[in-house]
Amino acid sequence: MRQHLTRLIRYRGLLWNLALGDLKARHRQTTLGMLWALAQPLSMLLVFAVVFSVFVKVPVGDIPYVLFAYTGLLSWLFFANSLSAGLPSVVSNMNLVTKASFPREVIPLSKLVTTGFDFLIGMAVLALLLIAYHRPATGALVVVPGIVLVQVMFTTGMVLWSSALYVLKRDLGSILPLILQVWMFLSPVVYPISLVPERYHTLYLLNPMAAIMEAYRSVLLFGTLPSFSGMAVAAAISVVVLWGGYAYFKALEIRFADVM
Amino acid sequence: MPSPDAVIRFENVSKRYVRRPRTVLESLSALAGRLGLGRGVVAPAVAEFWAIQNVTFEVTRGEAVGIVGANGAGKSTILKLIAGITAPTSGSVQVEGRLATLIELGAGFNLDLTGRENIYLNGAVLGLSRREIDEHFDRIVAFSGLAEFLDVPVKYYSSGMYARLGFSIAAHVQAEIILTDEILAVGDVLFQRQCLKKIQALKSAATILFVSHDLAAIRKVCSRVLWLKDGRVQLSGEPEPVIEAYLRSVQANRDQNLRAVRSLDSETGGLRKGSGEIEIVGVETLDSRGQACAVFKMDDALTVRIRYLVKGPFRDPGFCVNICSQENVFIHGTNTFIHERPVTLTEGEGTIDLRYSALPLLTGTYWLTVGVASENDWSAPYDLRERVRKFEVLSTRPDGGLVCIEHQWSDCVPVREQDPAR
Repeated sequence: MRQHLTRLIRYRGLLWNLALGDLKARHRQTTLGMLWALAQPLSMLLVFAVVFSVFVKVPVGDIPYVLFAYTGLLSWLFFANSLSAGLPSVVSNMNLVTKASFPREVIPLSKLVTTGFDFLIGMAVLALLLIAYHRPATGALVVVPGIVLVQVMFTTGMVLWSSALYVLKRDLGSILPLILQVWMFLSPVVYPISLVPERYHTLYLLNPMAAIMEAYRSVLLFGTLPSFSGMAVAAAISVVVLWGGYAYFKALEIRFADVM
Repeated sequence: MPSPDAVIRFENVSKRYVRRPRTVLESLSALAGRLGLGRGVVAPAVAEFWAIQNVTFEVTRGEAVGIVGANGAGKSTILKLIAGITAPTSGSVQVEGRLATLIELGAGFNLDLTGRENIYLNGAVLGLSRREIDEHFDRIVAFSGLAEFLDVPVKYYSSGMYARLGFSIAAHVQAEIILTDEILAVGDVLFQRQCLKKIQALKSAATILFVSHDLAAIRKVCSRVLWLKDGRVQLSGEPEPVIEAYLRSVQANRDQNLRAVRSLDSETGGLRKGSGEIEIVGVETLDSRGQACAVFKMDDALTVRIRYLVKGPFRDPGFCVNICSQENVFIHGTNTFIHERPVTLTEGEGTIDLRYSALPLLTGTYWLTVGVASENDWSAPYDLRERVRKFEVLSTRPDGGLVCIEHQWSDCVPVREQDPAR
């Protein structure tokens, strides 16, 4: 494993290059440019705000619904977009994979850099929203990097695992949108966890994304520390997923060029 | 006897490619086939293909080894195994040293990025840090000769420019092992010479594996040659004897193939024969402005543009063009051997022009026969396409026949009888 990591570090230049190339290619010849990073979360936010706070009144306490939904949406989109972009990334870079030798995980990881970039911009907007709505800044904010770290680990593990599996089983491409949709509704993106019956909470929080969203909300919206046990479980699952995903990817890696 | 200096060591290496049944339906029908059910139902065979079998060889530090062999003999597979792109099915591959894969130049270019950005991207693919690329940047640009196009997205590059950039990057990363696969296949002759010179310069610092159909280039560059046939090493050793043996075998195959490939031209319906190492893929007639044209006036200039594709090894090649009438009367024929004009072929696709400065032909339909052969031996050409293209000539001269031979009529001069009175 250490060998893999040193090799990966040696190729970090390629990682940045691929990510930068993606960003440039995406924004070149667009009028809005970087602003597109905000278009998706903001338009979904608008829809959710109308549907779930005007049509269906989702009880979220004294928090403005927009703020509530945006917090969940931001972390969800980082996860979902990373998976959607990461899944086909190895296959769509087959000209690189079959012609040059480099640690293949660089490709899916570069997708995480670009979605992470969108996430950061979204975070900046969230910060502005929090100030605009006069949410109190408390000491609990110091754990935000920790929550981000857990989310990044979980997302990275899932992306590595799925992008490798996709090389062998292209069916995954058709199933992923369905999985993501179901997963979103099993996570507290548009509704608070308090709507889930108490007896299912343990089961519900086995989904690291649920625990992560809850943690973001308690820190950013309520200014309180997240539930330690919930985050501990999410962190443990994330470490296992990351480790397993990376090991799986590296085990399959040498076969990529043959399958393509 | 393993040598301590070996940087590349293949021991009994075999590589099998399998196409597994992918979909549930395919798997089911394959299973049915195995159980002997559903005879007649097409069970997709689990295609299996041995790219190389039991290949053993060593390359020591500083050697330049050429690999020759027909297409599909396993040359590229060997390079991919050395590069670590794919793993052997059995046997062991050991490689020491930092690698540059030149396998197919320009792999890893991002078309939307500029030349400059792609230098960094491509360098990164080869494992270089930004600082290292910075160090080599100026030399890469100077060698490529593309300084003015650096900030143009590479999608606007020609294939030659593409190749230039790719080679320039790969040649300047100071790799210890350099794998080149048909790198001379694109680019102009001038750049190819530049490439060959660069490779020879790199020989002092690196171990080189050189795959090419261009046997002259292999002779120039390599100190040893490996001949692969159907995935096995047929012969290896000093360049000269191996290349000779390889050529003899190619020649023997050619004689066999020749009978087999003699056929009707699928495009024109004319006769076509040849062994196919070099193919005529297109013939065009152009007017004096270089525009494609099929109708000419008498005394117009006519340029015949031949597009060829190099597919295999060749020796001393030359082209011929014959003009025939509609009734297949042979009017004129010429070839590059007559003109003692040595033809330098580039690998891959290329063109050669033959220009007639003034057509002395009368009104009618004329046919071109175009061929390419080795050493002026037209009985066993690489490719000969009879009546591959026709063109019309319109002449205002009402003369009869095919060719206008310059002529003048004189006035009538009566033949006077000798005056008997004188």
